[in-house]
Amino acid sequence: MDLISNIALGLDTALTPVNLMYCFFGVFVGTLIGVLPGLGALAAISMLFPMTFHLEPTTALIMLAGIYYGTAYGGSTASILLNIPGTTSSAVTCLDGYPMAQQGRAGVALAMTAVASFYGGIYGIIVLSVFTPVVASWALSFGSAEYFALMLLGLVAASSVSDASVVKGLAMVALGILLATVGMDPQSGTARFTFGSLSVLDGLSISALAMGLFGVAEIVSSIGRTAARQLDPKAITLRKLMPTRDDFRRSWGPMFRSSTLGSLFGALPGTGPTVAAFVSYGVEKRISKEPERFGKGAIEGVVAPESANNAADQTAFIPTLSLGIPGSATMALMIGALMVHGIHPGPKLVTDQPELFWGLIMSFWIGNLLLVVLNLPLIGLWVRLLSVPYHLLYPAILMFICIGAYSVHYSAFDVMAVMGFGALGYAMRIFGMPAAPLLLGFVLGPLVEQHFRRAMVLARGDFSAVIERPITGVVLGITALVLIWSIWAGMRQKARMRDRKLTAGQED
Amino acid sequence: MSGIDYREMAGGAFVTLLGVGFASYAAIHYTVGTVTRMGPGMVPVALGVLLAVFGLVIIFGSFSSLPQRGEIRIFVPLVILGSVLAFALTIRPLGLLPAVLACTLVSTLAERKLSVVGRFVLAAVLGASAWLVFIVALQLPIALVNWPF
Repeated sequence: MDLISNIALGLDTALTPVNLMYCFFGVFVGTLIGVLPGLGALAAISMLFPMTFHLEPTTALIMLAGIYYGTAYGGSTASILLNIPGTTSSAVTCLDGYPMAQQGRAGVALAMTAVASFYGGIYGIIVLSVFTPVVASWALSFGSAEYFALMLLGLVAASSVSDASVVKGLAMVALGILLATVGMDPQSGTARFTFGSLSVLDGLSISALAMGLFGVAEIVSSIGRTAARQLDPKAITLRKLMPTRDDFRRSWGPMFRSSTLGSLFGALPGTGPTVAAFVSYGVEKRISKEPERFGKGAIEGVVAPESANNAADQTAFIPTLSLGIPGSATMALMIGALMVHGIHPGPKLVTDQPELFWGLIMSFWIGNLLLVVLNLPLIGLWVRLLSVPYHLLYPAILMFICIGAYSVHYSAFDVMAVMGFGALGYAMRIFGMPAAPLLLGFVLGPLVEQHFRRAMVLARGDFSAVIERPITGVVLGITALVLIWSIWAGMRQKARMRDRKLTAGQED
Repeated sequence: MSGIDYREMAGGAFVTLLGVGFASYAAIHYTVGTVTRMGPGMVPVALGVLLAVFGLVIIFGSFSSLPQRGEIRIFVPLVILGSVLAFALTIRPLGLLPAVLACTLVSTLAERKLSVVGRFVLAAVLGASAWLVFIVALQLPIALVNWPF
């Protein structure tokens, strides 16, 4: 009966007019950003991040989360209609969604996407509300050594799963932690790397970092490359949205299997909606009786990745809320938003802040419902938005970034910091270095340092005593395995690319 | 077939220099301490060294990799970063409206698709929407126009 009272509490919180309004605002902005190619959830969340400082923590999280899963809905629209993924997690949807659009079945694809996303989202929410309290109660006995090991696993997994090389990912994690040491050291009171400036005594601002790395750097790389295309909004009307009975019959199986896979990948560190979407597409193609239909407009190829990435979006909150360890850069921003309000997510969050946890979960239900309502009848609006040219869009985005950064502390220094991180972000793009591990390192940095120092003091400086703790040892072992596997996979891929280049050279 | 990838090498050098910079600055200015009683310098020094090692590995890898393609832009990043700088420099002394105008007028230089009139129209529209969103609706305490004289 505990669950029912918790759900009631959550509904109470989520249905207050303020929270309802921000939930709607979040999913609306999320869909908008998701539809616009070249702007992802990270850029959107970092732009609106400063706004959350003026809100209650629960409301802030409800809004940010709404943007997050809203982009997954919106991203598929651009994939299906233009063959341009609005977000990376909807890239797979292009494979069968765009052929469907070419066959005049764009409306059906969009409608089934909404259904599959809703199904995946709901599935993920149920997994989330069942498992988070379980993981949290299990994690109550964790000490500093366990936390240090888990954070290390999260950081290593996140940097090795990205498409760049492992060493680049790890280097960016290290750089992120180093940037996080700027400011006052909480244990000794020493001001580190401040160069006598008072502006950075509290540390570098996470919103400036995120807006520079993901917003400004993104704009610099997108200018002149993102062409808006003309589409006829009348081509998609509500009547053409209706899927046939055959479409539904083919979709139930893939939706169920993909939601299960998506829930699993969402909760694991390092993997996330994008991996979930790719894997579920591969699985459906492999077990299908007619694999040749895939890539030519198979409905299964649309619903599988869409239900998987939406389920993964929800279950990504499991480690974030139960352990306080984000599995992705977006989740790191969520934790950052909570920390600004003085809330440190961890196993006690579910019991200490039940209205935050259950309110958030209930807002997911409401948000997913709102998304179906927003996406189906308003599809014409989103299609029109796709044709806004980028040269009108990017000055507006820059303006929001600048004002957003300024409004945190009303300091021009923060705007300068955005510029600095923008320059760093563009340099990193030139060198092919991933930005997500840096942000993850930046958010987890202070915690990693604190737990590491504490664990070493408790173990009297003896590292083997840390490893001998059972959970710590197992987690560190898994970390080592992930590291070895990804180095090996990276070397194999490099060798294969070289072989291909060699044979291509001989054919010339 | 594989040659030296100079861009990759430059990236490795960049990372190495950052690592050496962080580590040496921390080693000189902050107490490192011992493993049981770590000082504020311990973690920065250790991570700086680690970062430098990663940088060296990247440099080492650049000797046997395939050169990447993809242009390096100079003009566009400078204009965009310049527009952020323009905002930072004008927001305090002049206020929100001049800052938005400056930011937009500079940033629209990056993609020459708008006429001069078009750029001013866009700047005016953005300035008006900034006023509506941030001062009227959100009521942030930012002056719309400051007169420093």
